[in-house]
Amino acid sequence: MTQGLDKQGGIWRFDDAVMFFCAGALVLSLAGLLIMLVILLVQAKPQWSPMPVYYWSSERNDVEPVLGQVVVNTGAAIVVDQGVLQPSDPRILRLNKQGLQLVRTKPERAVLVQHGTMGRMYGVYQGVDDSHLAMVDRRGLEHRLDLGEVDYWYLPNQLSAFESLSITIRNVMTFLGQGGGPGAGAQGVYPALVGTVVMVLLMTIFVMPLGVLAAIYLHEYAGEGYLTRLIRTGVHNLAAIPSVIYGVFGLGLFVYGVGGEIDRVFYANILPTPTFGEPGLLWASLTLALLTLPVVIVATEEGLARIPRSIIEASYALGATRAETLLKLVVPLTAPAMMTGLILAIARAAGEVAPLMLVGVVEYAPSLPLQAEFPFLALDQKFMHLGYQIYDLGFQSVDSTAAQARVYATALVLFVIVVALNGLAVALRHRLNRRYQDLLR
Amino acid sequence: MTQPIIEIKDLALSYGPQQAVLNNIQLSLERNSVTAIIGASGSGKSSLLRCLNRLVELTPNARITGDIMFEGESIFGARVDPTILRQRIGMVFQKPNPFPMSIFENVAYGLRLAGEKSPRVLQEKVEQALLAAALWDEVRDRLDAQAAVLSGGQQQRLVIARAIAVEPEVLLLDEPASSLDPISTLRIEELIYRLKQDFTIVVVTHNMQQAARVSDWAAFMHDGTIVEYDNTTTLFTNPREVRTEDYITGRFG
Repeated sequence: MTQGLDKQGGIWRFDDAVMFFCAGALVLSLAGLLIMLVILLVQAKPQWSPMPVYYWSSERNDVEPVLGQVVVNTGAAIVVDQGVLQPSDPRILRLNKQGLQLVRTKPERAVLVQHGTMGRMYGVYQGVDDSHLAMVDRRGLEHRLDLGEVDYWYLPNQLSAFESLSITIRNVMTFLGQGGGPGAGAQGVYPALVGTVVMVLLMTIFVMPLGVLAAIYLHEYAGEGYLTRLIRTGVHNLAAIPSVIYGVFGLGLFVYGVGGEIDRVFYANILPTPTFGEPGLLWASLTLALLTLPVVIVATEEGLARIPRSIIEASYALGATRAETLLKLVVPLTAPAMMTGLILAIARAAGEVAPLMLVGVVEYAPSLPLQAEFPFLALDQKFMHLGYQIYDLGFQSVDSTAAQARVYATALVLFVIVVALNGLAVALRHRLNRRYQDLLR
Repeated sequence: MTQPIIEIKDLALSYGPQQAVLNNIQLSLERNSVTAIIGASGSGKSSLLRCLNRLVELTPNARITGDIMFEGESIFGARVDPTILRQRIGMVFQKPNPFPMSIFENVAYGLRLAGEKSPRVLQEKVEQALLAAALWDEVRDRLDAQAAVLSGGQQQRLVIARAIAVEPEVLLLDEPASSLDPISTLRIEELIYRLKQDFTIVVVTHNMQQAARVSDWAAFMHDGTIVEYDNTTTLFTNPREVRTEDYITGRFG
């Protein structure tokens, strides 16, 4: 009885269905990532890219006209940033469209001025002479600004593509490179950027030696007993503990416990003003190191387990001691796995906000966590962090609507920082891997 | 057989309570000779070899009774440092297992462990070892290349060079050619024949023709015991035991 070699069961077969679902899952994941990136970019655009300046006037006489940039347009109302040209007016204005019969125009000669001391202003350009810029405000009053006090000015409604691009680039550089005051008024995220990077690097310095040594002990020396299995399970489970618990733990142990004790012993002369006994960079890094420790231990141990038994025996057979085998052979070979652990640790640490709020991050720190003298890090000082900036600007500040573009721009910067730190570690791992992969088949 | 270099007395080995591997092993190895250990898989050949340099102690639960004398001294003595023992009794494994380093560093590994720091001496000894292992001509121009670029047969000669670079007195070869093609196997056998001048060699092998070709003495193992140990020619042409004859003629095993 022959059946032939034809396909059974028609066109739509189970094999195809499996492939379809797997491919579908991949597409969904990638789409999610892409959408997130697009939303971040679109929403962050007003922060950097020059947006048009509009003029709203109403047919009713009791309503004053408004000149400025749109912050949010919700349909029923428009939130307008009208700058600080007239100190008596509110900077952020909410225009309810209902019943106003608003007419919106886009004045060709609208001008945006960044004033050195006062901030951003909008007006209609009148002319410029040797020392002064003349413009009129929304009510038609003329203002003359000393050009020496103006950082820059341009006519946003008649920019060429090139001008637009160069302004965007300058704005991005300002955003990344400058600090400024607290809250939404700040020019840029430089202090928060530095704070994030310094904190992550400091955490790396703490977590890598600790995690790697602990993993080596667990794998090479501890043996395979009941206790080892218990400890290993415990370490794996530590990774699942919510991060805010680590924050509370860090506050209790590091800040109040260790920090308080350091103050009593070394800084007794200035008590009760705390030095290390309050949240700060050191304690934040240590708390995050603790948080990411399980990740490093697990990754390193998996790497150790992958080293072929045969080359370890070869080392012993040549008369190497256990320590020599470890240091000359096993540890270098496990380096890529350690880098994997580091990548995971950085990815987790750079994005954490909850524990940091308890152990050292603030909304505004007057100075960078760097200093000129040894140890070059202001270990006892509070610092700013991109993740906390996002939370603070988005949910805590009074004018959170006005800060919306800033929130997205900060989120984009944090995203890029995490990707960059990860990219660095991945590149390092790739280099190490290429050296060893041939013999780890 | 005058003055054996290694003498095994009443050796027994087990990996845990129910897993006896070796039983009542008695064996004397003659200096500068090649001794082949033949036998079926699982008969304990490799375990016996691993007892000689105490590598077996790395296996969890390994328990050894009896004694092994090396140059008249017990290798299990309380004051013996196993790392020094392993420098004097080198070993080559079944599968080529070069370190993931350059060819030069592979051979220099043992020398560096022994404390050799002078680059000139290292260079010299690495060259000698590679010459002795008949690999020098093939790698002289690429000593800095990764060991992985070598073929399987070259890798096996590289690990032999690595083992003899530290100038051991005894060389333990655990089926050194079993993963190689016939031509590479032949080169390894020639090598064993030449190395006999300087080293005492113990070679474990599945391949009876190979044992007959390269060894002076041969031991046949079965179920953890040595069934017969004799001059190779005698063992292969005129075995005393029926089990040996059955094995070498291919009737079992």
